[in-house]
Amino acid sequence: MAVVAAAVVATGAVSACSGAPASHAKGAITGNLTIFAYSDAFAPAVFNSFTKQNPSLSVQQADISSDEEGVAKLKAGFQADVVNTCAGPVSQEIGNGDLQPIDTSRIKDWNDIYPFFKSIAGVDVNGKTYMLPLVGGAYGLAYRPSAFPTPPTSWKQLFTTDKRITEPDDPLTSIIVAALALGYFPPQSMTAAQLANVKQLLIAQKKHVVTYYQGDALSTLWADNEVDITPIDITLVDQLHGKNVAFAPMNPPLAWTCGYSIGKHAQNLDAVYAYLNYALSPLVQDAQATSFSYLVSNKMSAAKLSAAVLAKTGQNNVGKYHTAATFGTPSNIATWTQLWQDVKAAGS
Amino acid sequence: MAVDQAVVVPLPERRRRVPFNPIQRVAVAMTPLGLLFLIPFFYVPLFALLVRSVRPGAGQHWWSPYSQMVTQGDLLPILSQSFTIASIAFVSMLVIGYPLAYIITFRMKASWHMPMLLLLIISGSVSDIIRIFAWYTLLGYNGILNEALLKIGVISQPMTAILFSRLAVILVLAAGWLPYIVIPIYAAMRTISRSQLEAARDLYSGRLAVLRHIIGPLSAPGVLGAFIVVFVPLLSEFATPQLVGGPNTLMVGNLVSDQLLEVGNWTAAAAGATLLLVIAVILIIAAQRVSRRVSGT
Repeated sequence: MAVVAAAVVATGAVSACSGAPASHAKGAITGNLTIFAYSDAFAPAVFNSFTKQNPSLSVQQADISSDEEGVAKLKAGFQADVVNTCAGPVSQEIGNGDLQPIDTSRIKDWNDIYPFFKSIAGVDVNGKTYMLPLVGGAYGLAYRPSAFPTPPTSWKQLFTTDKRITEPDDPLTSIIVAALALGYFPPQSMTAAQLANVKQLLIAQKKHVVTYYQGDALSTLWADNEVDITPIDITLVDQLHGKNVAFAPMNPPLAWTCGYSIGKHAQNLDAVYAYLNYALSPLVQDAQATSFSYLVSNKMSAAKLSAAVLAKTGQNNVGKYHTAATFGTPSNIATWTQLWQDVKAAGS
Repeated sequence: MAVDQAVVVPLPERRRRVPFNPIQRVAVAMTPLGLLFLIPFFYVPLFALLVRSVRPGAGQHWWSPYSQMVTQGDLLPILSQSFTIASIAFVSMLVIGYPLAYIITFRMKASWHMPMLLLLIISGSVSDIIRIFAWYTLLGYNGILNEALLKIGVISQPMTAILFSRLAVILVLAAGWLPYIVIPIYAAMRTISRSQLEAARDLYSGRLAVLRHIIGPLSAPGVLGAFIVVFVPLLSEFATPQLVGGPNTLMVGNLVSDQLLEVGNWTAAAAGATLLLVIAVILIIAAQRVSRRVSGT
């Protein structure tokens, strides 16, 4: 299975809808389908089978390179039938009126999705389901063993180390990690005083921050030996060229979730649900777990994974993520984003 | 006074209208076409930007987005930093670009002018992203500069203060925009008549005096052109500070970009962009006045 380096989004969440063919009546779906997704969703080895099985369906691909780009494009009027989204940006997309609810009765394996995935903020809003959760992963700290002979064991060490740090240029990730370092749980419920402490912590950290990266820049920073430690999604550690990089899981765990939503203007719903079911099918999800080390949302898929994959991804312990911190958007997201602007501007 | 002693004052000649030549006629005929293009693709979006910037939220005044940027946002320190970075980069480019334009214009054969300018244009045509990443290879922790300095023993461990710093932002901006400084100054210097320079030398003027009293003032419009073409866009840069800047190198362009993409506040982003536009217009007017004074026009 070809592994395509996905764009590292600001939340570190990369969603793939990829994998081997899913069973579907050939030629039953016609018309057009526009899929707005991260690039690895279109990897030929996983995507072509869907198009082959639906030869009468004209599929257009549109790439997302970051959560912010996805939100901005949809808000600007970009029309897509299927939207790749994650916990975090999905709340903004719902708030902007860019998504329509999912009819879960048309999702064949809906009842086989782990309850943990269904409880993620943004999946279900006011009794309506807006995101079909597909994959997830755990956040931790990637570190350079040569700089850290003893692996870091807590989020706090990201703020007390004198080694070279990089953080994603994303308010959600950076503030959540700082909140967890200060012991604020869940991060989305922080008070104004707690947010002020988070701000001070992030400003104090700046003297050891090399840069705030966007997109896929982390791979270059790591390969060029510019940084020593960063918060990262476990599924992306392999992209740091495998050399002189190790991953330290953290406590409390921080988990991301991504999946698919339906665009507000989607008309060809038969094609949309065909694609959603394809994405949730065990064969596709198996490929995601094997190739990308993702946690998968379909229990039927998890049941078929090898012991090695289960251990590597943490799927065998998926229950612990029920209490994990998540990337759900807080109700005061405007305050968070302004806080992040203030942090970046401090010292200018 | 006798008639034969009267002074005859000649009547002024009627100014004869010179008909346009074919090329001029074509140019005049195409002017409305240019306007037709400018109106929908420049003036309408500009107007939309202005309108967007004065659409505040419920219970706010039309100027609220602007006042919030100044009072609650981080605009002033970031604007100050943007001016500092842009000014240092511009002056650095001028220090290199002005002599380069002088050398090309007055010290090289005419047949070399175009190849030299072409070299500059080609260097400026390389994709910004590729050019910026090339700087990683040069200035990075494992970069060429550190390797060289380590080899010759100037440093004992790689320097970390070059890349991802204000210095890196200034270097990359200056290197990237240099061609756009040279070309307008060259264009202005080309119009300086050699006979003026020869006359100055005949009158025993030294090179410095020639530069100060002839070349300098007459090339001032070129420097003005360089200022408009380079300094104003420098202020709104956001890619370079993002890619080679550190955690303290935010510029106004980043602020606008963040408001649009991170915060999702289009009104604030429009207000920031409009403020930049107003600043640019003020700078251009001020630069024009200085240029006129220097050139004596």
